[in-house]
Amino acid sequence: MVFSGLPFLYLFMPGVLLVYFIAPKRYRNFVLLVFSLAFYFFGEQFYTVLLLISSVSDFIFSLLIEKYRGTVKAKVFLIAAIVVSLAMLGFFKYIDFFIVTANSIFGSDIAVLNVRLPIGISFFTFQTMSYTIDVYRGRVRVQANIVTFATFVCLFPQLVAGPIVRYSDIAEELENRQERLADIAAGIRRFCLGLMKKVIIANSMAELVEYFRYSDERTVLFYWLYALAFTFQIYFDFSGYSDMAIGLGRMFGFKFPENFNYPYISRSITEFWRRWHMTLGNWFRDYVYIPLGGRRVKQSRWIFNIAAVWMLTGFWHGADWNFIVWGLMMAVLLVAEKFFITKWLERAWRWVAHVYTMGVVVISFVIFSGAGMRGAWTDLAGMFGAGGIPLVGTLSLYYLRSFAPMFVIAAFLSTPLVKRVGDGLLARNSKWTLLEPVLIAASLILVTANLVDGSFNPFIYFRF
Amino acid sequence: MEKMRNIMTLVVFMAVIFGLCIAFIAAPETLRSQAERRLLARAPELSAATVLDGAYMYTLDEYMQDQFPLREAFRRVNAVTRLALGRRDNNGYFLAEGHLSSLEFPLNAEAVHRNAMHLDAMARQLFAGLNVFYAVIPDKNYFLAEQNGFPVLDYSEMMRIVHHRMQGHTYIDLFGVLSLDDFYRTDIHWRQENLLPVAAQLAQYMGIELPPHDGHTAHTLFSFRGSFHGPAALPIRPDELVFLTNPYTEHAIVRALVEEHGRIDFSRYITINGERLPLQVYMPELFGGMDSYDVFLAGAQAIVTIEVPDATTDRELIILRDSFGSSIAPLLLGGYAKITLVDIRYVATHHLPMFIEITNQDILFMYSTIILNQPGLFR
Repeated sequence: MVFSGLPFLYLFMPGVLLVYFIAPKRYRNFVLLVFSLAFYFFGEQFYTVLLLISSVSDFIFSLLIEKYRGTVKAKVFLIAAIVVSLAMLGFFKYIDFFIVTANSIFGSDIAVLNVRLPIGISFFTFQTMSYTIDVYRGRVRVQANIVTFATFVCLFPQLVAGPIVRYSDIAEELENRQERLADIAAGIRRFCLGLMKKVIIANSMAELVEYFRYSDERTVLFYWLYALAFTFQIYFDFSGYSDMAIGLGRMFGFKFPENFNYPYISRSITEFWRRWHMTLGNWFRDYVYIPLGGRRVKQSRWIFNIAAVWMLTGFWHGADWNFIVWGLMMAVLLVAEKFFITKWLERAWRWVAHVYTMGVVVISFVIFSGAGMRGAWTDLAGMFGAGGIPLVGTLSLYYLRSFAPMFVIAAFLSTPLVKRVGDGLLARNSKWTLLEPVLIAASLILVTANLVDGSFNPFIYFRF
Repeated sequence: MEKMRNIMTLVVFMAVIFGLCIAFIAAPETLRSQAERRLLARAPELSAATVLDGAYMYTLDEYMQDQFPLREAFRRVNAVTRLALGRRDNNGYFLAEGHLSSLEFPLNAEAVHRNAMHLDAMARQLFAGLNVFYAVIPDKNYFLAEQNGFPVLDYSEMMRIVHHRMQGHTYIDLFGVLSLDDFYRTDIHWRQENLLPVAAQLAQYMGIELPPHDGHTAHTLFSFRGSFHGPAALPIRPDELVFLTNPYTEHAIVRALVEEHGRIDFSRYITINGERLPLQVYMPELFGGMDSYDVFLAGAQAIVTIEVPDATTDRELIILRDSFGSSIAPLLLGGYAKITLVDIRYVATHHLPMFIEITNQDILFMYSTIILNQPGLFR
């Protein structure tokens, strides 16, 4: 089930809100757990078992770690917990990639297993691993209540597309939380904002991406339209989904960490990654980069650490070489920025830094979205007119005209300008706040209209 | 103020979510969408098997889309919003100069080649030695798309291919006798009441004499929501559908190739939605059905014959046609004693000799550009 679907908005959500708020406080985690499992079961019937295995495994191993704290056994149980999580992730997400790679390297003929990727496995395995590691490190108290722990793992707002919520982020709220009017209203606000971002902007951009993919016309203009459309699609889809997750969490009394902070206003790739999918970046920082030594090592080792972290980050996004290349490209840029690019950018005009950053981001997303490395290279070559393709064509000109206003809107909404304008209006006259319910109703009507019309509504996290 | 805002936000949100939830659950199922001319999804079967294999969840989304309360109003809101956000079309449909149309692009030269080759082969194998004419009906985009900034088929290339393939047969130009006003505003088809110049053009080339223009009586049906009206969901008032009668159309005997009791034969009756109806040139009782254009010769049929008992000529005509043919054929009655309309999308070409006796008829291939541009339609 996806948040931006009619079954969620008009069956699941009223159901969970109704049952949750009429249930006594002590049963509310249980209500959330049951609805969360139903939410996951709706899309992944068989794989719901994996979610339960992941919950039970880390729950038991963490109890054992606590019991044998300070002994070798604690470390053994930590390793066992990590092995279970990584084995699950490795098999269900990467096994076919490993087989194909082995076949191409060794000339073997091992049949691929065609394992279907369980939705959200990359998110919930990372969450459970972080919990067990934090218990081992003594950073969080072990959770002795299986319902409370399973609620954390399965919590539907953040289950399939993040943000990657760590146990420490919501440990207190899992035990004791207040669902205040102000929080519920803030949650509604955030949820509707995310819904609009996903349905109105991201889906519109996704349509253009689809038109490109299914068209025979190949022109430089069409390649660029595709690249820009995908760049906006992935941002508004992903950040919209995060907004919806954060908003839903807030309605139920949870405060999830922020995941995006206007990444497209960045003036370097280093800054971009401080603003993009922040919970993933923080996860790799805390559980991979720092344990590898972080920056407090020799320069060569530091470069290795960066390369390892970014290769893994790329690999986390998908089981294909283009994701690894995408990650390594980021590593190279981050190292280069550390050594010299940042110094140049600081001396250059601000727009030069923006153009550099967005240029790299757009190109990196073309690699990211390509059909394997070959597809990615074809797309990149097309953007620069390789093969003598024409500059423009009838269709690309038509789509440019048809989507230009949406590009402008998307670019505008990628900056904090709208928020600043809104805050400015409110500062001058607080009565403007009474417009909010109108905007909420309008957003729900527009989104529902879009969904009822069966407009394009892709789910792009299937490979995460 | 802050508390008031929060309360109002909460109330509005819950009212919309719960209101539409209850309306969806409480509203009775709708069987079909008149606007979209299709049956709507029915409630998915709820059972352990359909839940466990995911079939229930898979179809629930589609079911909710189809059965959602205020569905048509929501679709209209979506269409208007998309255009307001700068989109030039909605689901491939656009509004220009007061007309709805669909994007038809690009030219599928391979399909045009194959289709024209098929028609030429028919002409040479089935109709050798007869007078063979061919005409191409421009779709309304020919008059509408380019000047309004929409992609348009390369009509000259299409006609070059058609002429090349149909060499040796007589071409009748219809591009020059049509204009945008000759098409319905909400439909793909041409308006019969505007087709007298087209009929005259055909008659001139085929050497027949038609009844005088003032010998027709116009009958008007309201409101005609054409095939673009529903899918486009854009704000446009419906058309009116006018059909022209004259003594020939009133007395004509119409038969269609139908399957009854396991037998395929010509019949003066046709069964539509379980109802057996006498076939006539115009069937106003079909107006308001899935496709109101079925008023003309009962719509899509493999083979239809129209015979004029009191004709002053014994000439006969076979029209190889698409749906446009249904409305022009009645205007040619009188010039011909019998017209046979054949749609090779519904009957295989090699089966035609089983159903049509080919003697000395005139032959007219008449297809719209939209059909010629599509692959694999001709059987």
